Amino acid sequence: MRRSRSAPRTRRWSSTVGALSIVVALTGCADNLSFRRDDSLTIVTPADRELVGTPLRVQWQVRPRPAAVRAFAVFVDRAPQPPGTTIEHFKEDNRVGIFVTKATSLAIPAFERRQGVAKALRDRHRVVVVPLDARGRRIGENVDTVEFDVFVETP
Amino acid sequence: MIDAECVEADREEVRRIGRASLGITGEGGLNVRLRDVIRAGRGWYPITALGALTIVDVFQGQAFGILGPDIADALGLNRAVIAGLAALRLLAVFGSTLPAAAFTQRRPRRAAMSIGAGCAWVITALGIGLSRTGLLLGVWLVLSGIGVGSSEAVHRPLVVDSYPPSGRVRLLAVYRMFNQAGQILAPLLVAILTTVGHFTWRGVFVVISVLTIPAVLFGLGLRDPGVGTYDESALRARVREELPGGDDVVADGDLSGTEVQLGFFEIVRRLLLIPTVRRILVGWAVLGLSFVPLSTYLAFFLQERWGLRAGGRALFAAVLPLFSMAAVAISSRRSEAMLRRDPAELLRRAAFGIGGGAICISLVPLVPSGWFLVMVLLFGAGFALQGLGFPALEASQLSIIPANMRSHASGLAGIYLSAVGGFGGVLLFGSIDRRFGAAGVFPPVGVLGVVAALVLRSGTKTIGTDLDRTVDALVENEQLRALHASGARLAMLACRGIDFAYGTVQVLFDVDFTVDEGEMVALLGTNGAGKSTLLRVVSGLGLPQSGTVRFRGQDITFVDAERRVSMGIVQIPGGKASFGPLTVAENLRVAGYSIGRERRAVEQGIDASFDAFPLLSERRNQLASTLSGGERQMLALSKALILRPRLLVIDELSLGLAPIVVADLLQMVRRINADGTAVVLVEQSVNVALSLVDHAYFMEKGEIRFDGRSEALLGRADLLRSVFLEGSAKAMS
Repeated sequence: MRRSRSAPRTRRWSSTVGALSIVVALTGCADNLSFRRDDSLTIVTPADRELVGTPLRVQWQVRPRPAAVRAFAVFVDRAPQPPGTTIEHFKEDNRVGIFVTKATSLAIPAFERRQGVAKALRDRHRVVVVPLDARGRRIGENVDTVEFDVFVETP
Repeated sequence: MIDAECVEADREEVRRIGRASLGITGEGGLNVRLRDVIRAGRGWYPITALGALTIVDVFQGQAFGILGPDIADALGLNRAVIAGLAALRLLAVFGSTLPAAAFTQRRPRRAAMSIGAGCAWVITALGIGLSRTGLLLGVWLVLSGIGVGSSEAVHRPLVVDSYPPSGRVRLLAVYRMFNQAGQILAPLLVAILTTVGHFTWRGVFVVISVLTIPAVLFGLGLRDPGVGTYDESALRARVREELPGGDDVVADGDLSGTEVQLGFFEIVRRLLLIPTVRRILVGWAVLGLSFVPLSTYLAFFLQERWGLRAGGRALFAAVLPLFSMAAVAISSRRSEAMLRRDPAELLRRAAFGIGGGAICISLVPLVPSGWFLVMVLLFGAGFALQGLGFPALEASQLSIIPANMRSHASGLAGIYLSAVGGFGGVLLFGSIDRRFGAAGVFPPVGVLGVVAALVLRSGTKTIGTDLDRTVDALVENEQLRALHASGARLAMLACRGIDFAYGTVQVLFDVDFTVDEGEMVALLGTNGAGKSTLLRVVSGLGLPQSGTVRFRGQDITFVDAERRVSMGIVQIPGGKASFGPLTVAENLRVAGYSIGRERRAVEQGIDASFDAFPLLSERRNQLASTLSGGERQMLALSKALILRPRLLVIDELSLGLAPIVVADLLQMVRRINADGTAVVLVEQSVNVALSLVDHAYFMEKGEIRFDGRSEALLGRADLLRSVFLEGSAKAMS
């Protein structure tokens, strides 16, 4: 039986496409992926790029509030934990700037000046709020952030 | 003298014809409309299909840059990880350019690769949008980067090969405009999808994947037009027309079946030996230092100094390419005329545009607060000048190199810009930013731009010569095809116009050297005349700055030394031809295995060597370092014979040996030659050499001073005096 010369090539392409499809499938074989923005969690104060003093009270609201949301994690100048994980995701000695609260506001007493960034950005800070479930796990990918400048009196 | 002038005039005329075939007519003005060029080529389809693909190629990189913070928050990744992933993608982009060039060098599959890259983007955009972890995100970004890198390598060469050279600059400009359109559309698309469409970053990537599909479907009809279809093929046809006998003779004279194709590394090395290409690559690297990280710091600068938020910055990023597009549209016709007249003019324009653009951008921090429009216009002027420069630079680079090396040249340009320059620039600008803020990075942009412009401008001195060399090589190849077809006998080895330098010290000057089949030739000259260097060029240990080396008609100038051995060129280096710590038998075995001969064939070769040199047989288990000088030369000859050479190149066979030993060795060399192997004998001893050969060359100070019969050389006391005086001086000392 004669075999076409293009057969191995076709097989190669098919296997490549097949392998890629499997990886795509694996990539997305989880639920809770958000394709549309969820604006239910909103930081109310401070406003974006506001010049603020310390201590700073950060306030947010959740409307409508799903029953699963029992608490919030607040992250100052750092990234939140991945969805589905608790703050145990971070090692115990690496939890600076992480606060967990059941309320919808948090007072942050002071901010450390940022190092290794341009001068103008040293007093710019970023706060991230994520919702947590009863076991302290992050719920989905919903998140809200705010950036603000902290007023520092120059001597 | 008159003959020499005639030859030179002929050569100039052939070059003029060759340049004209490549689109460089030497005439001012431009009377060919782009529409006509496109009609004469493959029509509108290739340029629009490649344009559509380059638009979508920009989308993923831009979207990842803009949406990086959102991705970090959603997946719980810190910014360093996102920056690392972006760097990884960049690494994949420049790391895949040369492999893509290598993949397409043997077969014309650049169009297939472009379509494949488009398909990959559909999948990778979807993959990015569905990624749940940083690791998967990294995998998809790398795959996306590989697609972009492969397009970098093949798109522009495809544009160049799809149309006649009379529209080259304008078509590269059109392609660039498509790319710029992508730069405009990508941030706008992201802004619309996130603000109006309320999509998350995932949604944006899924939409990008969907939007890529029509571009890929549109590009499915792309076909590779073949390498050099409209320029090198035209040049060959013109040469055929000029040759006596016309097309009939040459139609049968296709050497392609037997021609040596350069390998990937040989092509890269060949490109790096072209002075203008080297300068352009250095120019790209210096530009990369400033322009690759500039986009990042531009965002910080706009934020810090002008208070622009993400939307405003995205709009700003979308407006700037408009200036560049306008400049490209206005200037490309004039740039085309420059290339047509003289490529040096075009390179000068590229240097002016790039340097001028960088200076404009470097002045931006000086604009007082409140003069926002002035700041925009200054940036706009900078981008416009660069819009003038970049297509000119691309066209200059692609016009002076052989067509089959264009993908490699594009790949190298990408590597120098992104890898050498880009990563260096990130380090440089990062430290400047930390010390002086984002505004501090702008003055270095100006300085680096001027440096790049000066480097590029220095290429205006070499570009004409480099173009002529490309033309000369093509013409010579075609003439040889004609000779071959007419049944003429080609020389076994033909070196033409060889220039060679060690660094900045040139040691060979326009050397012509020919050896016929089965001939024994002596290459004589004083110490330091360049004999051994010429042998290095013949055997591939040294690559010439200019000129060609042909073996049985095939151009082997840039072929690796190892491949030349398998073709039959074997050199015995003077006094260094054996491995001291190995035994005689091991030395012979190593020689055999070095070209992968079968064990039995090697053993037969070793036995034949022992038959020829019984003395070696007695010493078979003795270390080579313990052999006498004569025995070592016997071993060297034996090693060479195992390789069954067609051309044996012997450097200083008799040096330091007793006359009786030399006589034995010479007897062996005679026998080798009598068996049909051509021999080049390099000797300082005129008596030894001329006792063996009929044809001799004499070199002095890197030039061939004599080429003729050995008896005639004996009559040239003016040449031989220096050798004898040197020999006498040695004897006295």
